[in-house]
Amino acid sequence: MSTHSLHFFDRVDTALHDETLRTALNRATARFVGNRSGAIGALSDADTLRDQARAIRAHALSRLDELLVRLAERVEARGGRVCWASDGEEARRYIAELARSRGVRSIVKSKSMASEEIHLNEALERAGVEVVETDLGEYIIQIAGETPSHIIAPAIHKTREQISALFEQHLGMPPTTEVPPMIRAARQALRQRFLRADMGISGVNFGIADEGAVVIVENEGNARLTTSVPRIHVAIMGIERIVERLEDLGVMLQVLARSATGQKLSVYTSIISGPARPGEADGPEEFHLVLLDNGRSQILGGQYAEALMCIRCGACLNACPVYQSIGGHAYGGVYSGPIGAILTPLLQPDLPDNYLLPYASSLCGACQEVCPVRIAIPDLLLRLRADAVRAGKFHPIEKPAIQSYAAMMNNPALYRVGGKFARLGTRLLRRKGRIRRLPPPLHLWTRGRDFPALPAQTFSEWWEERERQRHNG
Amino acid sequence: MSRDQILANLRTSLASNRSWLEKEASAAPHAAPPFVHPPAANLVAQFSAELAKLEGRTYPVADAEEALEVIGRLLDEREARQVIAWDLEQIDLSGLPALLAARGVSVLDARVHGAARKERLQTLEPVSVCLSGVDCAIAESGTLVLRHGPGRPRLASLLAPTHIAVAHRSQLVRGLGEALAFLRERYGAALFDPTSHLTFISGPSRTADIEMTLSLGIHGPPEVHVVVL
Amino acid sequence: MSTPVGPRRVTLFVTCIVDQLYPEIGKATVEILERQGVAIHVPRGLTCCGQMAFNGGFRDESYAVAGRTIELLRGQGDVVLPSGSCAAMIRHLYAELFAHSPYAGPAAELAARTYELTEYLVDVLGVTDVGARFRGRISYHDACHGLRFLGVGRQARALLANVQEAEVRPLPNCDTCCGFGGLFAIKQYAISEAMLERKIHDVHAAETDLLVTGDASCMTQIAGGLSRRGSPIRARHIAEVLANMVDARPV
Ligand code: SF4
Repeated sequence: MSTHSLHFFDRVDTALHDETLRTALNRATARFVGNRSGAIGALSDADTLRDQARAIRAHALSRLDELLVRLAERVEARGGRVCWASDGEEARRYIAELARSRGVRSIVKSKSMASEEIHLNEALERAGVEVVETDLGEYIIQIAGETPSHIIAPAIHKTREQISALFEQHLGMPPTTEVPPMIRAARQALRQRFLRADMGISGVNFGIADEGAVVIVENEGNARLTTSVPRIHVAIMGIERIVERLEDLGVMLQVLARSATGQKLSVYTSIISGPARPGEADGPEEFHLVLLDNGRSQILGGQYAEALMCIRCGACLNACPVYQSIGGHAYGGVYSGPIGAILTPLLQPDLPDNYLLPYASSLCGACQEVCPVRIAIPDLLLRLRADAVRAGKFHPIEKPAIQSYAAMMNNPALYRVGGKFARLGTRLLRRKGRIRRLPPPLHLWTRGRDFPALPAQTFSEWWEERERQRHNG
Repeated sequence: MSRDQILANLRTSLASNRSWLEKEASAAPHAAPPFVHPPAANLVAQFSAELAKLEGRTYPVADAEEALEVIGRLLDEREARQVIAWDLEQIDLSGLPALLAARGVSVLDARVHGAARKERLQTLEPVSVCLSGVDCAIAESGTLVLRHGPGRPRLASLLAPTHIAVAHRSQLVRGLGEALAFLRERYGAALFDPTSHLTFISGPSRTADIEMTLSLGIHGPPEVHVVVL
Repeated sequence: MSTPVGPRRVTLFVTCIVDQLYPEIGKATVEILERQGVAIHVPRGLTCCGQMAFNGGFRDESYAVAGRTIELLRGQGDVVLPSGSCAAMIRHLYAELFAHSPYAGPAAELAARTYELTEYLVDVLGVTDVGARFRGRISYHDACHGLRFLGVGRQARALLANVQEAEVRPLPNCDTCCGFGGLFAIKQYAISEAMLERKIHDVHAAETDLLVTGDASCMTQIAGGLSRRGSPIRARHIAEVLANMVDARPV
């Protein structure tokens, strides 16, 4: 299923007509929203914690150059290696070359949005290396040949029947509608992949500059296996995902887990600083940290810098009524939902219908309300819209429409006359006090909604009449 | 060089946005709160209740003898002949080596590196029980904090389906902030000197990736037992 | 209930949608405020806050419309709007629109004296009982911009609680967007319809007679959906209820 080649509107249409998807989305987002609000609500002082989280992220971004240098130096001092990658190409080349030079045949991966962003799997597979996603949701969509539809729950769009069929085909599991046998089948199959893998690739939730460490948060244990079992561990980190001190985790992990899944802490938090030390029984012999820029260093200087505070908790997706309706794939990029409508145009500027994503929002503000770092998502969406207009990216009818709107609003005489015509027009179209069909482009309104017939007299006319009568009377 | 290019970009960017970011950074204190829920008077009870919510079990015991009894029972129930464990002297429980010896349970050599790596891993894979100590445990989230390092393999809380951890009442802290402060106080700047790895474990491995149905043990141990003495 | 405060004067900005589509909401607002002893002034030629163009990304056009509005409201005292969305445009988004422009100062000054209607009644006038009466079941939908950018909602509920003979019934997911979103309703009509579908579902689940909200735009969306489905439930603006301008039975 490659919905990504379609146009945004077609993807939306496909999603809206997918009943299975709607059911899955309703179930998942309702659960996430409930879990989150329960967990945040139970805190002694959630507002302060969120303010702190934002301040900590802002602080890190304000010294991003310095903190990255410190992180890299300390990782190297611990015996790790650091790759500074300006773009996806550099990151892919580094990792592919590393795999080649170390004779790597098979790779296990734990969830990494950054690796999705740079299409790492495809590149490695082209280089002849087998790559297995090990997060259960990621594994399911990998064998289904799809992409994640949610930051936290990549396979929420799949039903148990679909998953059973996939496991039957790929793991030889007897068909079932019970979840536990599917879990057992996946555990068994993936466990062997871990034990045989030569390299593990993980994402990074936070880099810690002072410690030369990376933090990886998860619930399944696949990231622990990925970073502990194979001989080589490669961590890919977007350069903005950094904090200065270990102690900052005391705030960040709390808001992350609660916002993402409603947990107090995720099941596993691993803090990793370089390869295994001499004398340690286990752990990787090599540790590589890939610092991925891919446009972030420029974003930091512009009007979207705030988006770099994002900790990828997914709360804004769950809260978004648009996401709840269309799911993640319709957005077309790696990142979906409200923050995806901002990040995708910024980080994947080559996708052709990107400029439409910021319009896929009613600007209701539910995203900002739940964001643990209080990103002003609606404001950023509005800025992206302004950018699109400035770049001439809009439907040809919009410009004249907006211009005549502005002309009318700026000229009371025109406003009166225009209003009169419109009101007259709607009265001709009305049946039983309502309008079932408006002429284009407003027929898009009346497709699914009636429109009221406009009144004979405006409020201002009434008011002026009343004022006149008062003065005369 | 990409490094220099990235850093140059960052500096240019920060020239325009640093002051805004600094203003945002100073809008709230950064110091983490020691805990985020009202702490309970009895931390063991709180820890135990939180871990229970996560489907993990706590065994508050009066003394080492009772602790050994619990561990012995857990091993027997699983018919464990071998365990993956921390060096026993690192697990603060006298009598543990004798207990294992009495049952004929051997602690496998968990050293996996070098050429024998994959082979060693296959030997460890069938083991049914992991045994570890903790550095501290967080009452308000039912979390175990494990600092790995020599004698403390990370696989000893990860590979087998059952993880038994031994904790002491004195190791309980109220919240995550307090746990981090404790680690800092205890190890200072050397926190990551002998090890590359610190893990926080809150209950058994879980996933909800299939239709949001909660399932335990997809990758890590489906069972977590914590003996607190 | 506190006593109505002495001779107060406010500038009423009914907004373009109320002016052209729903003059009754404007009249209701006048009625409610005058009953509280507030003198009302309506500047001539006031049209629109500029939100439609701003929302669409057409900032130059929005700048012109909004700039003109700022001029017309200069020195006009407290400004009251029967719309959380347009009030939020002035209070919240003008800062963005006019950042680094000569209007930045005047916009901030205007924002500080701009109020949404229920907010003005409850927080400024200290009134929660305006003498309204409605025989039937009422449910309240929190229009997004008022709720999230102005923190309005509590006030409307306090006012509705004092509507005599009315049974106020909770609306499930009352704070979920109805799918209007300005140009969104046209540009993303399919998503907008899907969101409306869910809202209508919730409205029906509320088992109510009257869906009340604080924004004419959301009202248009929800009423349009109810009417298209032939539902007997009506959607009205809170001002109309408070001014006793809604009959107990559908006309
Ligand atoms: S924008 Fe905020 S809510 Fe959305 S994923 Fe990022 S941190 Fe979470």
